[in-house]
Amino acid sequence: MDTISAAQFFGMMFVSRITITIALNAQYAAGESLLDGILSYLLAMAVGFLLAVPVWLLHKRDPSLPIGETAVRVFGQFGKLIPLCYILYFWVMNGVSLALFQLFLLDNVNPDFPAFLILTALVAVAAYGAWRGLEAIARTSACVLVLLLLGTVLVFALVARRFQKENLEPLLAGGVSQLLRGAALFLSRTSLFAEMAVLLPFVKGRKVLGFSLWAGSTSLFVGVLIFLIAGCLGQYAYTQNFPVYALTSISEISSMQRLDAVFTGVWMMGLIVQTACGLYAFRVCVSSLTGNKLAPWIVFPSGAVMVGLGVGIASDYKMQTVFMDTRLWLILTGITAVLLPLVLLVGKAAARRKGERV
Amino acid sequence: MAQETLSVHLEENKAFFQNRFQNAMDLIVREVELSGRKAALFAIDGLINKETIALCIVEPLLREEAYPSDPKGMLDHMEHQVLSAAELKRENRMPQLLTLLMSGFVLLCVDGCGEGLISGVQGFAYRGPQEPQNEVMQRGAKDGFTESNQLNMAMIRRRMKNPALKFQPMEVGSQSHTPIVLCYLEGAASEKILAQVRQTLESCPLKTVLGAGYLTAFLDRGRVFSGVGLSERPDVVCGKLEEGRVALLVEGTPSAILLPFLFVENFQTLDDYLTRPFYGTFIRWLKYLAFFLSAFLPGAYVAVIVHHPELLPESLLLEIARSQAQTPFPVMFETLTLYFLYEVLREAGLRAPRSLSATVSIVGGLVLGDTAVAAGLVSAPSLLVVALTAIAGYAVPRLYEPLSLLRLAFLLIGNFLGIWGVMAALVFLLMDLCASHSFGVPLLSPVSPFRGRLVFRDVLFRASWKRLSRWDAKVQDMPGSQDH
Repeated sequence: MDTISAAQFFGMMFVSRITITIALNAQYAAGESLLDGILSYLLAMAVGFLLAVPVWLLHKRDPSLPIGETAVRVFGQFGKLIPLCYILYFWVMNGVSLALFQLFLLDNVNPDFPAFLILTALVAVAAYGAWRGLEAIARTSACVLVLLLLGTVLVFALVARRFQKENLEPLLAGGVSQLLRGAALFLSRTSLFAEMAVLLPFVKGRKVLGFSLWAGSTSLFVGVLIFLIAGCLGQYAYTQNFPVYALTSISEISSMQRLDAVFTGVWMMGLIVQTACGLYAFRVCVSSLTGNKLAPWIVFPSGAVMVGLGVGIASDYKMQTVFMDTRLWLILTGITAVLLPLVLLVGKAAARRKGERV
Repeated sequence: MAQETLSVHLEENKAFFQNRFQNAMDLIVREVELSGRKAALFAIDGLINKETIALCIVEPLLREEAYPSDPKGMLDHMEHQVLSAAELKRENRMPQLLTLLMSGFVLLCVDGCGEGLISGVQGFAYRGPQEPQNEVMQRGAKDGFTESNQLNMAMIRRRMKNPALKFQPMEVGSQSHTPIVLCYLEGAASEKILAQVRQTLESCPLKTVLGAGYLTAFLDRGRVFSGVGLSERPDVVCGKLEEGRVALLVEGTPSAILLPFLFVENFQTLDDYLTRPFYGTFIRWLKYLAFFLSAFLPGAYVAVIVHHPELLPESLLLEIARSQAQTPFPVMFETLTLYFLYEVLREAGLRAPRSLSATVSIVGGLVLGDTAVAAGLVSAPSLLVVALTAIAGYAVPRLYEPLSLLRLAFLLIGNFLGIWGVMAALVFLLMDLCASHSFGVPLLSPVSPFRGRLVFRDVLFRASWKRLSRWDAKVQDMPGSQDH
């Protein structure tokens, strides 16, 4: 398994975060006041620093061991349940992201061929990246990041002239409950903690600084994005499923209005990086389960599972209500970010004490 | 058992060579008697210069009147006092002697002596240096490599009068024994890379090597873009050696293999460095644009026409729709057919006798294209796209091979999955490029891993020589390389 720098890892995570953020529903994210979303995100990041503590502590104890291998060493065969939990998490997390993408395609772009074919192509490329290694994904994400940032700057610059101060609403007008709900949503959709738990042993360099910069830069990105959506779209944003798309489509700039497919394509590129990351994390967890016996090609069948989940969630309303529920994701994030690393920390401490007594 | 060394009996040696070259009429055996002792010269006709043999070997041998009586002394006397050939050495191992004979050396054996004198008198006909056909430069030198390694080495040495320039002889092909030369600048080339190249060549299982292309498959891993470069120009090779690269000269091939070879080098030509920096930069950007046009234009065109016509401005969309309405075939079939037709014409133009290639081009390019549009078989926009793609491909000739297949792949993907498919394929390409290494150096270096100093020096811009000469950028120092 190869190693990457902290800058590469958090750059990759930045791409994943942008990809998730632009898919968020404005009303869903911020309730009645869009601008509160900025405060929610800041709060989510502040809580995120605390949530990441167990992962950091665990990583500090065993910097070279992925969480799965640590679990097997501490708990033996029972420990295999922990990498299994992460495998399920990565499958479902990426399945939901793919489902959101498919929903967007069907609702707004409406391709004249089955949308699952795009999902299949997307995951096939992601699986190829996961098969080639973490470094390949990280380097690709750097290139995609440049494209994403260029696209974002272009959109921001072009829609900025539609900005109207009157559209902005006072902060926290509806109380703090909305702020907390928004923060919970952002936290629930943060796969970084799980990815850190699995992939940090493959990262070298100044990781804490990287994490802080990631939190800062994503806050800035989300802040500017929500500010522009609120200022440009006003109340109209609440009626939209995908406000970033709405932002470009109502810009009254004909050349931009026509570029739906290109913007979706750029979003898809980010999604490929995110999925590839998830598949690589899956590969690491599977290695912990099988004692490095499984070949890297395992990422391809795993990708097929993700496609199946994505298509299933997108095509069934009941599955959507279950898998896109913030509460479920908050619980899953809590389990993968806090609970499982804490269990391991306690287990390790107990094992050490037992060893000392013997 | 096969004879491993020369025998002391001349007749046995003669019989051995005649037996090994049975039914080969090009073996020359010239027997002489010197002071009552028999001697013989062995050579292969066509590989030697008979005039040199007559003047520097046969004539001095026959002119000398008194030879020492013992065979060993006689051979010493010949080596130091009789023969005037410039290159003389002793050898007694049969496999080496056979290889040397087939490389244009002449062997002199004396009866009673278990050693032979071998002299390089190569005299086979070879092409003189001519302007490279596939690497044309506007301002660079007009001489290119030939099929002879000796001449190629001389062309490099003439440009680099540096004792650190090394030419290490090697051999590949268990049957062909093809001589190759490992060429590098001591102190500049990485020892690690050199060791890797040597190891790869030594373990090459080929029986016969007839050209550089045979070896590239072993020096390169299977991927879309190659990590092995080829150049027909000695000046380009000298520049690359200066940057720590290794060159391989293969006997019989008028081009050198360059290792490691990075992706950005496909866009760099000597002309960039011979023109003023701003123009060099402009030309380089044109090449980047040409690459994207050549790779993505047909795919994007088909994707847009078939799936996303809304991306086009209204007037252009109407024009294309009007043209499409007059043709019987779908745009994908039309573009694919035109593309295959173009490739057939290119291949025919390349293989046809010189006198006919111009006719093929005119008939193919002008008559066929014009008639097809006039007859309403293909639309003019599709023809324009394929023509533009083909021309753009020639702006980066080193990438022609991968591009010709890539554009076909993009075309099919664009037709079935629209712009999303094209973008997914683009990420696939990026992933492949990002994951690939050429002898431990990332193929996409210095773009990814990124090193601003190098990217702004010679990738995005072509800096002036004042700036370029401030420090050397060795290939092994690229970010992400194993030596770094």
